[in-house]
Amino acid sequence: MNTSKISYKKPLLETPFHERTSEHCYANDWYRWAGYKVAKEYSSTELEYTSMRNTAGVIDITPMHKYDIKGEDAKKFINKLITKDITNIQSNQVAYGIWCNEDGMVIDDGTIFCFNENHFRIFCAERNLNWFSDTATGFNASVEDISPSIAALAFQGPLSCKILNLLKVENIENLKPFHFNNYNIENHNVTISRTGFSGDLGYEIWCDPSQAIDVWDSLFKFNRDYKVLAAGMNALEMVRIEAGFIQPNVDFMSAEQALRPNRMRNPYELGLGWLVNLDKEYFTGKQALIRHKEKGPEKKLVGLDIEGDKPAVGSVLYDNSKKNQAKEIGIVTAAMWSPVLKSNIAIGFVSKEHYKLGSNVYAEIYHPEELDYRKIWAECKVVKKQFFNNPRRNETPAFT
Amino acid sequence: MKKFDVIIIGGGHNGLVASSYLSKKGKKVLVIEKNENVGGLAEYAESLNCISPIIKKELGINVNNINHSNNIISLEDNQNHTILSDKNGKLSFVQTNADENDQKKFLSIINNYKLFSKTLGAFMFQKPPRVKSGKRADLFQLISMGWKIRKLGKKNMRELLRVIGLNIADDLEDNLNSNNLMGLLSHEAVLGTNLGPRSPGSILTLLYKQAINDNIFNLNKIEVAEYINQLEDCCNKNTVEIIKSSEVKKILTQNNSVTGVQLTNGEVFESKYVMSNADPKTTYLNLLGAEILDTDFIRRTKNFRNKGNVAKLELALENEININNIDKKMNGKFIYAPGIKYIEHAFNANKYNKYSENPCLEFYVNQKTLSANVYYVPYLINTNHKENEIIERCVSVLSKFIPDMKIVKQKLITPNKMEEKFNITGGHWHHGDLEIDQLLMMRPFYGSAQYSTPINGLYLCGAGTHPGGGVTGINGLNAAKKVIEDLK
Amino acid sequence: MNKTKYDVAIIGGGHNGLTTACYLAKAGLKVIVVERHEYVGGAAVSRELHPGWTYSNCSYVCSLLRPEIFRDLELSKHGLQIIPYEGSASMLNDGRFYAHYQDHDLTYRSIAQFSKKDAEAYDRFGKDVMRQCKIIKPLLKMTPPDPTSFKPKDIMGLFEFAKYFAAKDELGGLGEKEIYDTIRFWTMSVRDYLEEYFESDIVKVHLAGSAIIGTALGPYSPGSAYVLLHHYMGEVDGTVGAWGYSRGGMGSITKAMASSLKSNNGEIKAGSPVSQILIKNNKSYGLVLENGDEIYADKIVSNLDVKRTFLKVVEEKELPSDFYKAVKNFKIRGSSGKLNIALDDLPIWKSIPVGDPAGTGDLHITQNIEEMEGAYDDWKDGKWSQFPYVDMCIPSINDPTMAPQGKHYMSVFIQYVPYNLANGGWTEEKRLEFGKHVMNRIGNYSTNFNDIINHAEIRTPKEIEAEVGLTEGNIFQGELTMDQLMFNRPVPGYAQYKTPIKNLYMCGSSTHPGGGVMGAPGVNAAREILKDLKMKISTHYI
Repeated sequence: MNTSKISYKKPLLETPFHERTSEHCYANDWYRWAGYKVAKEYSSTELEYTSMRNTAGVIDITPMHKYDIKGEDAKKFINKLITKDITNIQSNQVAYGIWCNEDGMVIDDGTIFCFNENHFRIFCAERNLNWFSDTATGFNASVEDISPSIAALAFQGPLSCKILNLLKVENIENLKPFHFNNYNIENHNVTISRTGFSGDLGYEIWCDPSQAIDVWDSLFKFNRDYKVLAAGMNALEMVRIEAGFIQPNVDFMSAEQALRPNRMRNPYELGLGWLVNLDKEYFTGKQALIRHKEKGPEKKLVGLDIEGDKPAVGSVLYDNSKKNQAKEIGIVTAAMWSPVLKSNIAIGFVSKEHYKLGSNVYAEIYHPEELDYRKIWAECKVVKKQFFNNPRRNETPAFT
Repeated sequence: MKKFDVIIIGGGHNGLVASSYLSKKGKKVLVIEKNENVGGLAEYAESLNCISPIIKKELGINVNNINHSNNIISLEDNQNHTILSDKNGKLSFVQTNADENDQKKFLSIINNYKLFSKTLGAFMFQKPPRVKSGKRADLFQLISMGWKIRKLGKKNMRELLRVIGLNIADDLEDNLNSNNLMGLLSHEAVLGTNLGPRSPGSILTLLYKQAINDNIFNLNKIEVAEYINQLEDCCNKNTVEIIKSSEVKKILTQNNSVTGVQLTNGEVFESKYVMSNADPKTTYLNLLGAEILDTDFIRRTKNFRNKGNVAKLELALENEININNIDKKMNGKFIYAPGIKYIEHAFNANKYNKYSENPCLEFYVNQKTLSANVYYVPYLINTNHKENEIIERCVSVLSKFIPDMKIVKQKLITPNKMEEKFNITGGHWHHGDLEIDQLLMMRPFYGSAQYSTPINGLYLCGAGTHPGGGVTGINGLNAAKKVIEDLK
Repeated sequence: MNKTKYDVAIIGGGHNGLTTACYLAKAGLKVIVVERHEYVGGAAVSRELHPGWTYSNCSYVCSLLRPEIFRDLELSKHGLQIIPYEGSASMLNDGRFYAHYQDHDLTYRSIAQFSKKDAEAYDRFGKDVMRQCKIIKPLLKMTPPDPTSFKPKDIMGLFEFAKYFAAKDELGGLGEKEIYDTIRFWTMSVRDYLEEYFESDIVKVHLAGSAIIGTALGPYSPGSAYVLLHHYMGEVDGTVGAWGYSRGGMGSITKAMASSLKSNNGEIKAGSPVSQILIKNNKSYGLVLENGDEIYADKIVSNLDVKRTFLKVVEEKELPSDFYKAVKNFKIRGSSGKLNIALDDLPIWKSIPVGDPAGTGDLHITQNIEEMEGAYDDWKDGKWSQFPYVDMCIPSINDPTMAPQGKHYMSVFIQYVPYNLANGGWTEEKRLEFGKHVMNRIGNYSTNFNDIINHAEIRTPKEIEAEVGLTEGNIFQGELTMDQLMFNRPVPGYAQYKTPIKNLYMCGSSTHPGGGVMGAPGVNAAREILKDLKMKISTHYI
């Protein structure tokens, strides 16, 4: 990143895939992600989404932040940083974790790759260099931002393994979920992990920026028979909601960035209590989290199955089927019509009295209809956030 | 492996007070001191005006006053020195160049400050309340603090609320003309702080000093060494175990609770309660280890400002020391800080991590020896001052007043050396700057105030806590009381 | 002799005097503003001091003007428009430049050239400062309660104040930590504050500039972080901390206010210096002009600074001695100078390319905080800074009304310049030498600057005092230090826009919340006056 000269005429950086993404991006509709230009929509969000659910989609995820943690205490450092215990992590394993501040409020989440005891790599959505560096105080562990030196693609969908097989990526079908290894795609050394946001079979491919174009081209090599599409951020947003993944600064404010203290959220509120291991000797936020757990969350991020077919984007949630008697009890953070489930789904915060699975709450939906809004009072059922979870996701050997 | 009710790291005066108090309450206490002698930084304290009545009462300590030095002599280049004498806290001019009006105003300023200090003094001896803790006791204490300030009456309260954020130079220049008198009070305000006379907050440090010492000039009325001896005796009497020449390497913890300490020689002592007389940075980053502290807390620890800037100079001369134009019998505290501008210039160097070419001095003379506090000599990171140069600068100042100085022995103890000897990060007299953001409930910082720490059973009792530095023992006493409270 | 009797007479047509006048006139009172000069505006003026060029010759950029005042007084209708900055930059001696842009990602990359950590920390810093801005915003609108008073309104005021911080949901739920952060921000030195976030010299010094502009504090002085806040709490269209140009110069603001005043039947009497306030039985009832004319009014409001008001136009015998002494000891120090430069061409910087938006906002050349503090050290000794901090901008790039076509106007604000120069005081030669010194400094960073200077107006605090009437040329009408803020401003016990003289009020920047072209003191004073008349102020402001 530092090598490129800064010009006000080009405020955004281009990823190593830009030559290809710009070619595919017929809609010329771009999105800002961590200072990079990535496609929001290539041609049709619906088709891009469908590719991930039906064949395979390719998403440029290069802008993800990547930090290398190296040194004798690398593992101890990770264990201090995140809320879950990774003492037993093995080489080539990936852990999903969150990290909190001293008040037990979530800063960010990420995937943590273990190369060996002394070398980990963290992939996350927000910038965390200062937090990691300050956390490393007292450890023999170095923190380095290596973001610009790795190009990354998410390759998600039922045919993803099949296509990698066709590309003669040896033994890829035996790569277990939340594991990674080094592979070879048409003479290019790449790292492939079985991770992703889609809730289905999928991989993430990490390579040197110089090989980025070749790797991209390889994935499209069998396009005539197995239709692979470049998928944009809009499509990614759809699959991640269906899969029940949450995103900092979309579903909740990162504790490092929230202006108003009461906008910060603890893991129990986000439904991520399973990622907190209070038996672990020490990690940042532990004492606060003990108190949060005892108290129980005041509100909780849940899945909502909403009647009708009008997406409840930005809706306020209420407690009563009768509008005139209703009290506000929450808010929707993300909503969509799910094509694969044929359901009207959403993720939202619901207060204590109503977040139990199966409860009914009500959303006031402002639905645009030919320059006018129709106000819909829709019943919502509180369900698990994970709306879509295909068994393929966890099967090894992988579906081919 | 020996077990104790409470282990105290560091036998500074606060550590000794805490240990005496705890053992009087029937606790089995161990004090671990790095050096051969207890007392810590008090070794370098030039003067002690009084022992807090609370300490006297709680520990039954009584130290006799020594009488020889209740004069304050402010030296002037033109040898027209000002001499003030202090009789039981009552000041009067023995000689001065300042006109009568100035003399009167000078004394009235001091009286005013005394009045404000008295109000502040009420907060000094208590555990500071927390803001918005949700606890009734804290709220009550806050309200009672407010009430005490209100009780000053309209006029005085207004003046207090104004001068609390003011700088000493402005207040003096508004009222006085004499450079010498202004220098004298400015000296007392800035000595041991990271402030110059023109830095806002420099009146507050003076009020603080008065509140703690019960005298703005902090005269040498009590032998510090004698006080420390008494404290040590008090410990011994109460069967406190003191081990000297032993350095703590690590505070041991398990599940966020203290279990004991380990010495550099590997020896381990067990206890559920450990008090650290060390400064906050040393305690948290070295003894405890950042690994078990929350990241936000580490940030605050690192941000604690603790750059010391006073050096101690000890000189032995060939002949008995006579000061120009001062009667031989007239002993007392000598101050060389001739005017606001001089001090401010000395302070300028400090900002850029340089020693003052023209330093300010406060010194005592005892026949052939002289010992002085020299400022500003800032603490340096990764390097050290050329000590001989500093001594030379001091001697050139002193030789204005002491004819024919033939130095037999000289020794300069810079903040860096104090750091080394006492493990005080930054070599700061008060373990950390005395500025509003590091006082009261914010001392040393959020999450560590009120003597407790994020670790169960670990307490701070050094000058890094409220009410800060000075040989008061209040920090140790308050911390010990807190331990007793928690032991219940 | 003017026999008309007014409801209110306001001494001084600065932006605060005009603001007070507008609100009072809007409430239906008969108002007159008496101004010394032939033009109104005080320190917010646009003047053609060199043919063809319009100088914003004192204040030069706008951010603090409360949008509620803009709206209440319909200033847009009266011709006012604010143009936001496109960026800002500090030029380095090594030929690089450090810049902030409107584009967040671009700013990140610009900072990351110097430090990746700082680029990231900038967001956290921005968030923390923004939180402080939100906390202070309601306080600006408040008449400070007197903590020593037992009057119900003061006790209620203090209670409201405490409630505000104690409230559970106010400001997103301030906790203990956030309250301490506020105390820290209000009392720390800007250098210590910035050290907690940043490691790179240029980042720190670029941000620290806001903390020293106009004050007799250095970046190492405790309390300077508050001054930074004072400069950040303004806004341009909701972007807190943003600055902008007033189209047509700063005079457009006061011109629009004057026009708004006239549309509400307020009068302005220009060219009429006031020599005395008429007081009888501790009550003011009118003004005497220098030409001997008298103007009578029920209420007199002074837009002059507190020293000028009570040491120049009110006689000492009318004042309680404590008050008189407090006014005499009020700290109002000249520390700033100003150059207004007419340029024959656009200056070309060695580091910033032409067209880069960073070059169109405020520009600086100080390299690190030590250099900035050194500039303050010089001032303390009664010298102008050898390496002064300059805040330069070229409004004519965005505003064609300021200079002839193809030519430019550059405003250079200089910190520090003493009011009393050591070694003999200011002379004409020394003033010119000072100007030359600053221009030479700037010239080092440009390839053509020295050759394109058509005219330069050089102002030391003496000139600012002489023209605007600000005592010692202090731009804030009094230092913004803890001893002179809130209920201490200007004088403890008289922080509620009232004075020891009945019917005499203050509305200038000497009062809470202080200086800058903000207008808040003006509205607050108007509200207090109307309250005393048992009338209500009509505003979006409360």
